Amino acid sequence: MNAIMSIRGLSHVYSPKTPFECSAINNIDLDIYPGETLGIIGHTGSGKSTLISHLNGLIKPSSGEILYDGENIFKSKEFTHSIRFKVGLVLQYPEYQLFEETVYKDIAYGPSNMGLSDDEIEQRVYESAEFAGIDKSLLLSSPFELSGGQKRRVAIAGIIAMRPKVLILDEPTAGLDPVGREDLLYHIKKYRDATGAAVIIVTHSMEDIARHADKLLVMNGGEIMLYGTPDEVFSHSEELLNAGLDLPQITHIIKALKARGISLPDSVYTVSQAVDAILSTGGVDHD
Amino acid sequence: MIKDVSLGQYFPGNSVIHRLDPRIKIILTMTFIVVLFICRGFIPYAIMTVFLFSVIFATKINIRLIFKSLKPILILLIFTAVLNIFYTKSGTVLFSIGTIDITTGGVLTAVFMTVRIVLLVAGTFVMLTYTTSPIMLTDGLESLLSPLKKIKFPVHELSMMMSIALRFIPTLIEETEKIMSAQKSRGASFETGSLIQRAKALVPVLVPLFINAFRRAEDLALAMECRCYRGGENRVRMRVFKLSSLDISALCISIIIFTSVIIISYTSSFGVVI
Repeated sequence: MNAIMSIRGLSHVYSPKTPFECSAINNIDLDIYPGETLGIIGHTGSGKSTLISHLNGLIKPSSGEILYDGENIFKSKEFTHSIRFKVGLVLQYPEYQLFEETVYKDIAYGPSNMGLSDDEIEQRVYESAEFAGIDKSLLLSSPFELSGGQKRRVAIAGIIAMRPKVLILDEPTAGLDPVGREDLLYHIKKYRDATGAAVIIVTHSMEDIARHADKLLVMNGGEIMLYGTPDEVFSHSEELLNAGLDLPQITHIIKALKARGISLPDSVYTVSQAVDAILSTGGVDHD
Repeated sequence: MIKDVSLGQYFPGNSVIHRLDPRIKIILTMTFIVVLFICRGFIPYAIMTVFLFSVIFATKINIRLIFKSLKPILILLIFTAVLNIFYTKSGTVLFSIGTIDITTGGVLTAVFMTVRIVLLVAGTFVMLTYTTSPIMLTDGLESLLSPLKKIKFPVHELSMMMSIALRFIPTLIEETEKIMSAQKSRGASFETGSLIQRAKALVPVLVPLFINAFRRAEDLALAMECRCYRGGENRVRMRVFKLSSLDISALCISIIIFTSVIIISYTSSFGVVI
C-alpha cells in the first residue's frame, strides 16, 4: 500500500537565534498509510504537537519535507491552504475554538471555507454530526450551552465535515470520562472504516492507544524512540518507563506477576490479552 | 508570528541590572526619560547614549534583540524625522525641494528627535521590562505608590490588577495563536482578501478569545476567593524590598550622570542649542 503522507528528515527549531532557541523535533522520518490508526505517544515536550502541526502546514519545517500524495505540501501557498481540507487537524481542547451561534453553523464553517454549495454543506453537516455522535436535535442549539464532551464532538465534527483523508487528533480524550472516551474513539474508528482515511491520535493515555492503534510511534526528546505495532512497542517496557512514559495498567499487573515468578508473555497490553495469557498458564499454586 | 514580538518581554538573567531593586529601576527610568526631554545639544545626547549602551552591556542581553524590538516603532521614527525636517525652519538653508527649504535646524531637530525616541523606548525596555519580572515590577510600583494609601487610593488593588493583566498577556497571546491555528485548520485565511474580508475572518478568533478570557477571569476570581483573598488590608509580603549597596551606588552614579547632563545642557557652549 502506498503511503498517503510521507515525512522526510523533518526538523524544527523554535525561536532560532534568540535566548529561547529550542529544537523541538529532530530528523523525523515517517510514513502514514490510509485506513490505519497511528498512535503517537510521548512525554510532555517530546515534540508530538510540533510534529502534527507540520502535517497540515500550520508551521513550516526548519529542514526536511512533508509529502502528501508525493507532493510537497509547502510548494505554494494555495496548495498548503488546500491541504488543510485533506489533512484535518483537531487541536488540543478543540471545544475552545467554537464561535458560531448554532452547532450547525459551527460545523459548516470548514465546508463553507472550501467554497461548497449550500446543499453539499448541509449534507456534510448531517453526515459529520452522525460520525461524531451528535444528536440531530442539538444542531440548532448554541454550542456554548452544551456539555464539555458534546462541545468536543462538535469541534471534531467541524473537521470531519471537510472529509479529510488524514484525520489527526491531539489528545482527543483529555478531560473526558471513561464512557465518553470510549464512545469518542469508537466514533473516530467508524469514520476511518467508512472513509478509509488515515487516523493519527496523539495521546497520553496508554489504555486508549493500546486498544485502538494499529501502529505506535513513541517520541522522546524530539526524536522517534520506538515505532511499530503495539506488540512490538509494549515489549520494550523498560525503555518506555525510562523515557518517563507509563504502561497500560494491565501491563503493570502482568509485569508484577512475572516478577513473582509466573511465566507470562512480554507484550500484554489489553485486558482480554491478559485473561488469555493468565488462563494459559494453567493456574497458580496456593500454598 | 505574534510570539516573536519581544516588545515588553522579560528576559530572565542574573546581571547587575537584573538584581537591582525594582523601585530604584522605576525611579531611574523615570528620571532617565525626564532628562531625555530636557537635555539638549550633542554632548548631553552622547552621554545619554553611552549611558544606555553601558546599561545594555551590563544586562548581558544580545544587543541585536534590542534593535529588533525597536522595529515596531520604525514607522513612528520615520514619520517624526520627516515631519521635523520639513517643518522646522531655523539655521541656514541646506537645499530646497521645490518651494520647501531644508534647513540645518530641521535636520538637527529630526536627528535629535529620533535619537530621543530610540533612547526612550530602548531605555524603558532595558532598564525595566527586559530585566524586571512583571511581579517585581508591580510590587515595586505598589511600594512606591504606598504613600497614596493615606488618601484612600487603592494602591494594592491597582497593582494587583496590573499584575494580573501583565500575567495574562502571554497567556492571551498563546491562546490567540492556538485559536488562529485551529481556525486555519478549518480553512480560515487571515492573510488574503480585502480589508473587510480580513476583518471578518477575525470573528472566529475573537469570539472564542473573549469567551475564554471571561471564563479565565471567573476561574481566577473563584480561586482567589478560595484562598481568602480580600484585598490589601493586613496583607504581608513574602518579598520585602531592602536597598543594597548595589542599589545605592547605582542610584548615585546615575544621579551624577543625569545632573551633569542637565548642567552641560544649560550652561556650557559645548552643544548646539536647538
